[in-house]
Order: sequence, then C-alpha cells, then structure tokens
Amino acid sequence: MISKMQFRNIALAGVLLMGTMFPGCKNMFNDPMADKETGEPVTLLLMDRNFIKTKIAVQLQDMVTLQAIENEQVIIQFSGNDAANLINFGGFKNTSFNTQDGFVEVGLDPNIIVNSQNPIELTVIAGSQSYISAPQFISYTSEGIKDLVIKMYRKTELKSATLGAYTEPFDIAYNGQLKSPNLPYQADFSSFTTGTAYEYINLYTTTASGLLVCSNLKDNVLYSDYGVYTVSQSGGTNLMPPALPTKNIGLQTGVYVYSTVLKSGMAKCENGLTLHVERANGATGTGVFDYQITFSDGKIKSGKISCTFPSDNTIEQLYYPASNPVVKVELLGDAQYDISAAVNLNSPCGAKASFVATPKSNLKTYKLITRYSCPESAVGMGLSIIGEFRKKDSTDKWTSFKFIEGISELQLVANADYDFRVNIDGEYYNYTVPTNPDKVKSYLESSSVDFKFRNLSIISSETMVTITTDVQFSQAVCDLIQ
Amino acid sequence: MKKFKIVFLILLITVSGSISLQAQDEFSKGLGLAAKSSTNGFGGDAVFNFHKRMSLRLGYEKIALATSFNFEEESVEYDANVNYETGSISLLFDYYLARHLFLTAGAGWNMFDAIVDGEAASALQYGDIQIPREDIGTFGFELTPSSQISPYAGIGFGRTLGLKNKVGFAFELGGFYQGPPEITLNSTGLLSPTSNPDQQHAERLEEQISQYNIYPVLKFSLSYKIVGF
Repeated sequence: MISKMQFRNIALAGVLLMGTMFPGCKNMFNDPMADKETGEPVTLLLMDRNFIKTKIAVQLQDMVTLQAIENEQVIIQFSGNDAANLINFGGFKNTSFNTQDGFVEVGLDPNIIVNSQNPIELTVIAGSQSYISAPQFISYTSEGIKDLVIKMYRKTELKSATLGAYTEPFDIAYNGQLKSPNLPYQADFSSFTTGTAYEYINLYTTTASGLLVCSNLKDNVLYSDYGVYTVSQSGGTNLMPPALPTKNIGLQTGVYVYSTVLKSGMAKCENGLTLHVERANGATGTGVFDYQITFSDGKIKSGKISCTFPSDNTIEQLYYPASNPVVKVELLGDAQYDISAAVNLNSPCGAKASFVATPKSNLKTYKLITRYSCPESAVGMGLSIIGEFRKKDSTDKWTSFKFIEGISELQLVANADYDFRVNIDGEYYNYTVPTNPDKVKSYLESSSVDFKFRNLSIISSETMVTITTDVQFSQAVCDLIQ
Repeated sequence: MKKFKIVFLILLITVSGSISLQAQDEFSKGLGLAAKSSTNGFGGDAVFNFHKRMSLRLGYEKIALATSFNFEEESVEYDANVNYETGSISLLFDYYLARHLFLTAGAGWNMFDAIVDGEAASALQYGDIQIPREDIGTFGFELTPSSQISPYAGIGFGRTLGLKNKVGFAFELGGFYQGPPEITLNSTGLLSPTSNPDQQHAERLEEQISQYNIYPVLKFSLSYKIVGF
C-alpha cells in the first residue's frame, strides 16, 4: 500500500520529469533549414568545383621589376588548336581573358583528354595599353594546375631603350634599309621565351608599311636558323611560335617584330624535368614556389610550381645544350617555407630534382577550411583554386597557396590577422581572417559588397589551429562562378 | 495495409469510450497483452498490473516508411530517397494519479534511423560545358539518436491494462529523450566534400537539428488481460 506522502512524491517526480522534458521541445518548430545564427538557408551539399582538371594559372610579371602587373587592364590572347577549348571561371569558352590584377586562371574543357599523345598546344600573348609580351608557345602533356608566368615589357620603358645600341646575328632590312627608321628597335627580348627551340633576341615595331627581309647570318655554326615573328597591333595576321619564323614578309604599320634565332646543338627534353617537393616526416601543406633552371650556356628558365606536399611537378618544354646538359635547379622559399639547397643534375631530361620544404621557425600551423556559398543556395562550394595571403594591411608580397576542396594548411604567425584573396575571372576578391579566437566576433560582423561571413570559428588543438570560414559571395560574384 | 491501420485506430478509439465506463474500484493483479499504434510505430506490450496505481510494460514497436522525391539545386536535378525507421524495445513504469490518468517513465532501445540518399539525375551545365551526372556523384545523410538507450516519460489517459475488465484502452502522450541526433554523411564524385571530415559538415548539420533531442510519442493502446490474480 502506498502512503499519501509517497503518492505525492511520485506524482511530484512525475510532474517534474514532464516539466523538464517538454521545454526541450520549444525549438522543435524552428525551421531546421534556416541557419540558426544567420537565418540564411542551410548549406546541405558541398560541391567540389575541381571538375576542371587542367587549369593554367597565368601570372603577369613586369620584366624589369619582377612584380605582378596590377591596376592594368591586360588582355591575354590564346591561339592554336586547343584555344577553342579554353573556358573562364564560369565555364564559358573564350580565347581571350582579361585581368587588371595580374593574374587569371584559365580552365580547359574537362572533356578534353590531356596526355603525351594528346598534348595541349597553345600560343599565348598578353598586351595592354602600357605593356607588351612576346608570343609564347606552351605545351602540356598532363592534367593539373599549370603555372604560367608571362613576362611583360612596359612600353614607356621601350622608348628609352631605343637610344641604346643593339645587335643581331643577321641583317634585318626594312624596305631595303638596314636599321630602318621605319623599324625602330624597342628592346632586348632575350629573356623572353618562345616555348620552342628558338630564342628571342630583340623587339621592333613598324612605323610604316614595308617589306622586311632577314639575311646574312653572321655565324652559321652557332646558329642553324633565324628570322622574325610578327604580331599585329591592329588585328592583322600574326606569325607566332610554334610556326617557323620568316625571313621575308610584308608588314603594315604598328606590327611588333620579334627577331629570333635557333641555336645549333640544342636538344629538347621529351620527358621534362620533375621537381619533387615534400616536407619532413611526410607532413602536409601547400605552397607555390618560384623555380629557376640554369643551363650550361648560362640560359635560365624560370617559373612557378603549385605544390601540395608531397608534390611532383614536371617542367616541360626544356631545351638544353646537347653537348653539356648539366643544369642547376633552384627552388625559392616563400613566406611559409624555407626550401633546401639547389640541386645540380647531369641532365634535366627525365630527371627528378628533390627539395624539402621546412616551415619558417616563427610560424604555427593553421588549417584553413573555407567554403563559399551563394545567397539562397543550399549547395556550398569547396573550391580548388589558388589563393593568396599576406598580413593584414601590410605591403608584403602576396604568398600563394592552393585550396583543395576549400581546405588548405598554412604556416602563419600566431595571433596575426591575414588578408586573403581569391581570383575569379581575373579579379581578386579579398577578405580578412584573424588567427586570434578572441577576434572572431568582430570579424564575423565584417562584410563587403562582394561577401559576408556566414560563419567563422577558430578551434585550437595540440598540433594545429583550425580556422573554419563560411564566406557568402554576393550575387554579382556568384553570377561569375555559376 | 493503410486501410487496416485506419480501421485499427478507429477501433481503438471506439473501444476506449466503453472501457472507461466499465471500470470498477476493485483491484486484482493482472497480466495482459496490448496492441499499440503510435508515432513510434506499431507493436505490442506485455503489461503487468501489480498494484492499483502501478503497472509495468515491456513493449516493442516499429514502423518503416520509404518515399522518393526530387529537387533541383544549382541547375542540377537530384533524385532522392527517404528511408525512415523508428521504433523501440521499451520497459515502462506506469503510475496512476487517478483511475484513468497516469504518468509513465522508463527507457527504451531506440531504433530511430532516417536515411536520405540520392544522386544527380541530370548533368551540370557549367557555362558552355556539361559535367556528366555520373561525375557529380551521390550523397547520403543518416540520422541516428545520439543516445540509443533513451529515457521515456509521458502522461496517459485510460488504463494500460483493464483495472477490473479484460479489455483496457489508453491514450498516451510522451517522448523519448534521444539526445541531439547524430548525422553520418557519405558522398562521392563532385559531392565528396560533403562527407569530407575536414569540412566538419556533419557537425554543422547536427548543430542545426540539435533541438530535436526528444522523439515525440502519441500512442493508442488496446489491451487484453490474460490472467488476473
């Protein structure tokens, strides 16, 4: 028999149980598809935008200062059979791409197979109001991110260069006249690359129409061929690598004329040179590094490689003196990593130059997880693109890195704030991320016309700090992406 | 099957009215079986009424539903399936505050399991190019209770086993505390970042549904006393 007191206790316990249980239901009617913090639609699916398997990351570099060419509207024009398969960030086919930030990513239609039997072959040239490059032949036999540095010469600098002396190993007559005033010398272009076995020497422009004739090669032991390539400023016919240069051509006014020679005894590496980069103990991370290959004749081939450790990047289109194929390969460190010493190889062909990347001593490892989304969309994007960072408000050189599905591991200074930027169709979009957890709230409230943060969190563990960022692009930016 | 369930519910409701009228004050211990229909499934209880105010129930209930739907996101159509299972094996204690009003508490082995999976049904038109639907891939979301053994509390009307009568009827409102549901993700192809642990996507979605820590139960039961002693 239960007493009255026991009955009350049990009843009270029951009521308390019910009372504590059912208030938990108070939020049950909240829309689970609306973000609890922001009210925005919840991202349900994350899509990797890495279906573009081959990208050409074009960086425009001032030939004199070696700095990126920014605040200059540059048109990068591709030609060749594969040019019709190039796409912009939004997937639209195009053969010319604009940037005013000195960088643009150009994609290749993923339905195009790339291998040694089906290489991509293109000729690229960049030009703007103030800058000009030389036409460059590029060829890739594998998929992946291909870093392409296009050096450009500032035209204003060209004027002063006309005062200097110049030489050619052959005669260039224009309308029957050597050193014609209608074909003024512009600049030494020997540091530009044709992408073939030919080497550039000088740049000229035509100031009147006429007939150009190349003749009288002075050293036919050192050189086995010579001639000129031509690029019309007014949209006329161009003669560019990989075509053979001409020795006889009629030209209109305003044509760039690039003199070129083919050195004797040069050989091409069919298998390329592989640059292997890894971190000690197999640690992960990404970086974009400058490389420099010095050949026995003093010629230098330089460029960039994008690495996800451990990484193998093959440098193609290597031409070297067959009689002395030794090369010195250097990889330069960046703001994140120091790189091991230069590697000397007996031959670059089919060889591998291995390097070790070591995080700089004052840095801490951060895992950056960045997902991008668009307004009113339930699908987020884990972008696999090249990003750049530098300390907030600094004038340091931007350091490049790779996002893989929106994730990257970076070496950063603890508690510093960093500016990040990603490039979409030749235009950078910036945002700032703190590394100090105490600053999350203030940054979470920051936004710009291009983006706003939907979420920002910083969580520390023993080995690394994870910064999770949800960046919602404006509809205008999303229109470029989608 | 659907018609059977409806008829069964109507029968339960009809019987309930007559039972309460037949109840008497005298008590004798009893053991019986009950059929039940609830938001947690269909099943039965073994009911032991050992005191005028108290009884124990050992029960099993389960329901499985499946449906398909499709949706479109970012110009891609997806075919999706929902497979929803819920149920429990439970041991409950009833305490009668009044003849036809009782509180229930206990625990159950929670069999809640909801799976939403699907795949792209159309290609992704990306500018001038098309990404085949096979490359877009598949996705799967599975929701399970974080606490498989779930405490239960409820309030009921009627009798889980007839007090004096052979037949009893009860209506019950309660809930299993199952904790914030856990989400397991799997995905392939271009959707693979969805289940990439580094993306912490499951954790984020779990936060979105963390308020659903109680599984609500609305239950009707019809019992038959097999033995009285």
